[in-house]
Amino acid sequence: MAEKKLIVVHVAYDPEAKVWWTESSDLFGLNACASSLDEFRTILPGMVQDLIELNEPSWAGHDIVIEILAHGRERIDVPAAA
Amino acid sequence: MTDYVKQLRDILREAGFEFFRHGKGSHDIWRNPKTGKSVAIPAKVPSRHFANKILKTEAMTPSLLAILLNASGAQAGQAMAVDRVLPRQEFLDRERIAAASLFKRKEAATHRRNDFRLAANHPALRSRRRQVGDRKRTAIGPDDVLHPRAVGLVHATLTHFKIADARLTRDEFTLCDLRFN
Repeated sequence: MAEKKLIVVHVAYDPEAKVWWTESSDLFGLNACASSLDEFRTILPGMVQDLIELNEPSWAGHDIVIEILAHGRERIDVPAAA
Repeated sequence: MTDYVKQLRDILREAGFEFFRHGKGSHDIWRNPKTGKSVAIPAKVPSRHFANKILKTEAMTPSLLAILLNASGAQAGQAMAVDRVLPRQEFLDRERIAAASLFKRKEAATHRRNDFRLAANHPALRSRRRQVGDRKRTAIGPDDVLHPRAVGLVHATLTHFKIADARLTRDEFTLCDLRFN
């Protein structure tokens, strides 16, 4: 059974640019950016594969698990009760 | 929408990175031949926060620090500050300094711990800073703010850096102003 390798990717939302972006990750060089988390998830595998091939060749053959931790902030105004 | 990718590529080139190949997706792979490390750069970088993150985590490799140190003429093992532009400065138009960025820098000066870390015998921020301040009425083009000079490669403070082993971690130095504003 292939050894498991966990890559944690922290994703933040930029309300100014309206994109989700990689704030930090366990994989050097990982810089993904997308307008939605769904799109982000589709971008990530190819990028991770590229970077493992180039930066972490020893991870080849591992069972790679990508954990995405996203955080954003929304503000709402709730009118005071009359 | 602003796209910072062109400026990022310029900075990565300055840091010794080269375009390596297109990635499996819309990103490109850039590689630093000296460190052997590769980074993924998306086709578009619309967020300045994201651009700043890339600068601080990827571009600031030992190779870029070496550029900065060479520019300063600093000695190994010394606490030092870099207040010089990167190589190729001759291509940079001093009259087109992005005042907006530098003004932000000036405003933030009181909050910068870097300034308090300068070695006792180190010259404090010098006349250039004042010159820049005096130019605050200089016309600025929209691209100037993102010029490599404007994004802060002109000034960084490094502390307790040992150039001999060149194995830097981000914790071993303090950067200021390397950012898109």
